[in-house]
Amino acid sequence: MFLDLFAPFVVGLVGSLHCLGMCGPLILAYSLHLQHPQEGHLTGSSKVHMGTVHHLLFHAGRLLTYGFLGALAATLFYLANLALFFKEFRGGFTVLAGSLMILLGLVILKVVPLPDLVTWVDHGKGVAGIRWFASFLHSKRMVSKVALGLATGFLPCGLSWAMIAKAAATQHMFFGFLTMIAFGLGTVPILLMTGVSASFFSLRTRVLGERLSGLAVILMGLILVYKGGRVFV
Amino acid sequence: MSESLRNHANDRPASFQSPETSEKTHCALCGLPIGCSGARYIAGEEILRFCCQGCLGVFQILFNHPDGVPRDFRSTELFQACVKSGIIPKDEKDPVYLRGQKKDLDEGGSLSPSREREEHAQTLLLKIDGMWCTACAWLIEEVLKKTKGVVRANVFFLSDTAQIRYVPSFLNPQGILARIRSLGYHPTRFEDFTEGRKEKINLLVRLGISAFLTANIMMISFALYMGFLEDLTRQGIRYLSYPLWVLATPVVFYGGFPILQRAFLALRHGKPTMESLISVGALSAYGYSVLHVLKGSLHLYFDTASMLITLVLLGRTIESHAKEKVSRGMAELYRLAHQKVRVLANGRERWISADALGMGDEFEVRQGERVPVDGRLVSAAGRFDESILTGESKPVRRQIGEEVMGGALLLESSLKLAATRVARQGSLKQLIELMQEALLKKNPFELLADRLTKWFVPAILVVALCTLFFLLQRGLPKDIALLRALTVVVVACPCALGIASPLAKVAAIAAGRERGLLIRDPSALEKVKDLNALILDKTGTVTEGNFTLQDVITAGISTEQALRTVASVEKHSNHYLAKEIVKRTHEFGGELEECEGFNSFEGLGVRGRVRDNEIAVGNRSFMEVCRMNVPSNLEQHAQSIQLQGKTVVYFGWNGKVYGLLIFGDSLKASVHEVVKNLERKGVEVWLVSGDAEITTRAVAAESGIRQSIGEMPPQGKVDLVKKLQEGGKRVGMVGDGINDAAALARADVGIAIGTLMNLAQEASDVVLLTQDLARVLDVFKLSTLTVRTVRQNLLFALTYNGLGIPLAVGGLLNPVIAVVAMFASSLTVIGNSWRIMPRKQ
Repeated sequence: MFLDLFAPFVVGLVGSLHCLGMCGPLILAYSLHLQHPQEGHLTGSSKVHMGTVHHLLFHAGRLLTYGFLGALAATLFYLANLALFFKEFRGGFTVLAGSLMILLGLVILKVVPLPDLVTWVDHGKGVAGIRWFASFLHSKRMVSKVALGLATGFLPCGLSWAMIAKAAATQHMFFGFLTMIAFGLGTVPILLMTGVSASFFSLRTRVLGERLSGLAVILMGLILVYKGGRVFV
Repeated sequence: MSESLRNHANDRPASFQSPETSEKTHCALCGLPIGCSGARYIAGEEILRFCCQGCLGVFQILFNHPDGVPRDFRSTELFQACVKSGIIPKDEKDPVYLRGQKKDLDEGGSLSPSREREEHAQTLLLKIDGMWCTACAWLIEEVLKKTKGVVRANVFFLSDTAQIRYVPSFLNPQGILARIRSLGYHPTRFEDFTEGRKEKINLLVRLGISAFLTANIMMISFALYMGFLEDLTRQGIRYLSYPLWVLATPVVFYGGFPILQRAFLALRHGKPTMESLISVGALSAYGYSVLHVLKGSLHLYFDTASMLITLVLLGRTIESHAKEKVSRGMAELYRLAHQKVRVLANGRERWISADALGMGDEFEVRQGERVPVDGRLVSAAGRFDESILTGESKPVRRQIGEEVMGGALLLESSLKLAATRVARQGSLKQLIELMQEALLKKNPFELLADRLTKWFVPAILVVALCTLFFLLQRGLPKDIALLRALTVVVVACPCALGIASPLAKVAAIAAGRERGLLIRDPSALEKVKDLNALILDKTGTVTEGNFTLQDVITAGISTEQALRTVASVEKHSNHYLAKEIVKRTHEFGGELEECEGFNSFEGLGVRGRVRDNEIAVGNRSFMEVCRMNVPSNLEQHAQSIQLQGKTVVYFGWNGKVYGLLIFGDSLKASVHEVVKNLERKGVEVWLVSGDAEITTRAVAAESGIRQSIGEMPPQGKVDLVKKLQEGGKRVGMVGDGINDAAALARADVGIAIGTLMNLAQEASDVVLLTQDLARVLDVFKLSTLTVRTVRQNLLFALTYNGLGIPLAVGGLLNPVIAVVAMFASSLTVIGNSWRIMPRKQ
């Protein structure tokens, strides 16, 4: 059990080096707006305080989304499994989740491109979502950061999709939720110190982190396939 | 979206950049490689590629504009902020590596070594303490190479030295030192030695404290294990486990600090090293134990963690000690090469740096001091101890006018010398440079080993993780699985393998230097023991090379006139025979005349015009070439003299040979012994010379050499080497380098026998710094010893690693034994290599 939660956490930790590149600019974007010099009425201490709270809220929102997606995916798989109700296929969904993870891991490693269908879907929601997003970036209210975090969690990212697949494999709403929360927690430390981390980790290390997380995902996928496959043997 | 962009298609914003190849392979947002992702966005005329949908999405969000992303998004405040903080690298050639350090080093990545920069580049030689394995050296090298201003960087782990070529306008030495220090090492320039001490003491303190605490931990752990059998109460457990935690913490975090620091810094650059492995091991053991203490369990591994750290520290201390012995010689030499020189100006003493001394400047050396630069004795003769250069401790007496190499120790009184070579080109400097070069040369095996090391550490971690998984699946309890995985991590450390070959090489070079052998190419040294043919040059190699003019035979003119004429031409030649002729002429007071149109022909002779006569001086073949007729009585005389092993030089003009100059040379003392020895080893010995056939044969007979060829031009020597090689022999050549360069290069091993000048220009693999031919036997001995040692080292290293891993997986080792084994393997290799060094005679 511990391992089941520890693994997503570690993947989050290692993979966050890659997330740095993607979410980093986002975080920097709203931070810039927070620190706008025209904020006359903010005193020094409360400025810092405000900044930190905003960041924490952002991450909280993000984690909530992840948890939600994980729970959702797990429930879907569970229901689908029930509906199919073939004894021989009990391990089937685990195998499916595992295969998805392997595929996503390969995508993360940039060995396999995402199928075009997926790309098309994104472009569709593009324009409207973007404007909505941007408004949250500019606002200084705390609530806006939570909303921003919630929205960010939905951003298409190979790594988070892979972990959603893992959550789905648990086929239990609560564990799906926990899995994604663990993953999210892993990504928090490095993102919390975006500015510092960015200068600290060289490009090479970030590439390394990305590749390691891809490998870890593939490994987890293989384990899931193995576990699911055992039912047939 | 694209419709609105098309309206802007015609105007180009100021910051528009045409896509370079680099941008096609790296994500426009996060800078990571794109691979085969298809995510792309068209901004104006630019196609931006991204590594994933996510980056594309974020990009669209951030640089949002009602009409789509503006083409000048790169000049938005956000983009600039991202670049400044390092999230978005500037461009492919300019990735963010070490920001937040000194500004002048941070403008970007490495300097591409354009030709003009190479010209302005200077070399900095440093001693770097604290390198614990080849990966450290590699890390430093890579980081330095990426630093702006560095043209080339070579770091050699085994001698703790680094050679860096940098452009002074971009970077100063302090900057380089600072950068290396920021990686956790201690660089010093060779002149200041106190720094190294400090680091050593630091290490010893950490070792001492760790050892003491570990001893205590072991005691308590023992009690704990024993108590395990006696069913301790909760209180009892707590009494023992918390103190363990308290004791282990300083060991892991203070004693182990250098290790952890190295691992951390290496992680930052994405290059895992040995320290990463050790840190993973120690921290896992420590962390696991802490969890268990809090749980109240007895499965504690504090003793493992602290033993790991202590043993690593111990091993490193011993290793650095051993390494120091091997590399000390070089540091000494370097120190010698950078001394101050005592100059007398207006009767007063002044000390100036050796580099400031010009050619011909006079300086003084007193008894007990070392000569700082190459110089010619001006005031008096002196006795010198040149052992540091030649390995011979017997004092050498040098006369006025003779040259003394920098570094020689003056044994009596004080002398004045005139500098013959500027310090930068001095023999010592050349010696050091050549040694460094030799150390930096890597044979194919080492290059392969280097490449493997890069992958080794991650591979070990993967293997350990697999072991963990595998064992857990098998149903083993978690802590045993963890322990075994830890053991795998530790025992797989390839330290010994990495140093097996290079260390033997370094020891060979150091041992060679102590015997007066300069090994310029270690891989050639390995070939020496397999040589089965050795070609010896006659003059200077087998014979002493100090030709004295013994007699002058003339036909039709007086001796004085003959000498005067010949000397007038020879004055322009640098050949040792020429110098002897001129010297003798001066001795009897003969005046030299003007000579025009001087020409020298290698291996044949010289020609010039004196008073409208075309004078030719040279060997028999030269006389034929110049169409000079040799009177038969002279010819007979020449032949009979040559049978005695002497050298005959003909001279003549106007189509007739007017006489002979007879030079005598003496055979070196040890030659006969050496030849006998070589033949006993099965080496075919040849004697070659540009001198007459008869002379050569006579000398060969006297030395016991069976094969000889005389009257051989330099090209002929090369041909002989080729012929022997085609016959399947492995050929070595011993010559004095001046006109044997081509043959030395062509031979499998080229050995140059000591000349004072221009060591670097010789095309040889080994240089004998003395005139003693017996040193050739030393080269053979060294070669055999070195090859044997390398093979033994590799065997040891492989055995330890090869046996260790399966044993670790099978649970027959525990981490502590694994650490001991790992160091045993390193120390075995070190100790074995040390055997190459000769005992003090």
